[in-house]
Amino acid sequence: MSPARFWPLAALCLWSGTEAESRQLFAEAASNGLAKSYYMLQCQGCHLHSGKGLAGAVPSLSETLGDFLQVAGGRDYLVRVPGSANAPLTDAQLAMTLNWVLGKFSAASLADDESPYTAEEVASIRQAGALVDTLDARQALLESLAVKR
Amino acid sequence: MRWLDKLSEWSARGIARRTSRRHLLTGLASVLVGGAAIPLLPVARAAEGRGNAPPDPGDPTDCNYWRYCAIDGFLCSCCGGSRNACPPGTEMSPLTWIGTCKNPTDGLNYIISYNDCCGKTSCGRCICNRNESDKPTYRAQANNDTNWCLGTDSSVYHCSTAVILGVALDKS
Repeated sequence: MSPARFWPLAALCLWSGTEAESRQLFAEAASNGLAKSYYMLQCQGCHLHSGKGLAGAVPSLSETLGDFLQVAGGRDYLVRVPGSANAPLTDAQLAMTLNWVLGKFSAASLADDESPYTAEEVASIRQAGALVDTLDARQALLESLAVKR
Repeated sequence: MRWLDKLSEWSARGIARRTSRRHLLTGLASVLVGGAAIPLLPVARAAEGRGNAPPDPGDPTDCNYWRYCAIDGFLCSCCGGSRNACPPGTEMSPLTWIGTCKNPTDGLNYIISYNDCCGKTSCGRCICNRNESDKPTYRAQANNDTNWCLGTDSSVYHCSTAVILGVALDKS
């Protein structure tokens, strides 16, 4: 095979590898029993076992949560919503729980190259504190998503 | 004793004439397999039951019952319901507060969901107020003073259940 033909194939392999690795990481996160335990204790009371919440009162974590990660500020938003930012979880535990939620409830909405949260990233975002006006922040992200589409 | 030898020989030869070795093996196998299965069935069912359901010691109408370690309200077990179910005529709130209680039998911490039952006036029987892990109202999701009749047709509180969700895993 000539080099000119080789490079597109190599790029395709690399891309597929990254995609597979990302999905694998979220699949592993979704099977983490400890993270499930944290979800049950800190989130399930309102977001429910299914993650679907309650229409008009509690936002759903199901199916479309990964969309937020595709717009600027979305990654921070999931850490800074009061339920996350104020949860009695360490940064590592919160990262684990967020990755569990994304992998369990919204895997199909994750971008192919999406990376899981790390403890360091969560620690950095948490320094900004919990959002004061969560609904406004959410609305702004939804509008950004609508423009993107 | 020769008569005994002759009798044994006659009996053995008779059996050999009437049956084949394959017939003998088939019959023997049936006895062994069937005999093994009969006493095992109830034992296996009991073992399976123990694997799925945690030990549940105590009286669910008593405030000291282990699952009630973080409850605040009237016990549905005294109000026509049970520790897991609402009384007739009430609706279980989908939203709830969730805590953990240590099971005194196996020593494990279990995640307990204190779903309120809503739609009738307060039951008034078996008030129970234990506050392990209860947090102030600014941590609403971990506060048992909140009226959790949310997402139900009626917000009128009647009584509280204590449903086991699973074992609380912890690294420590």
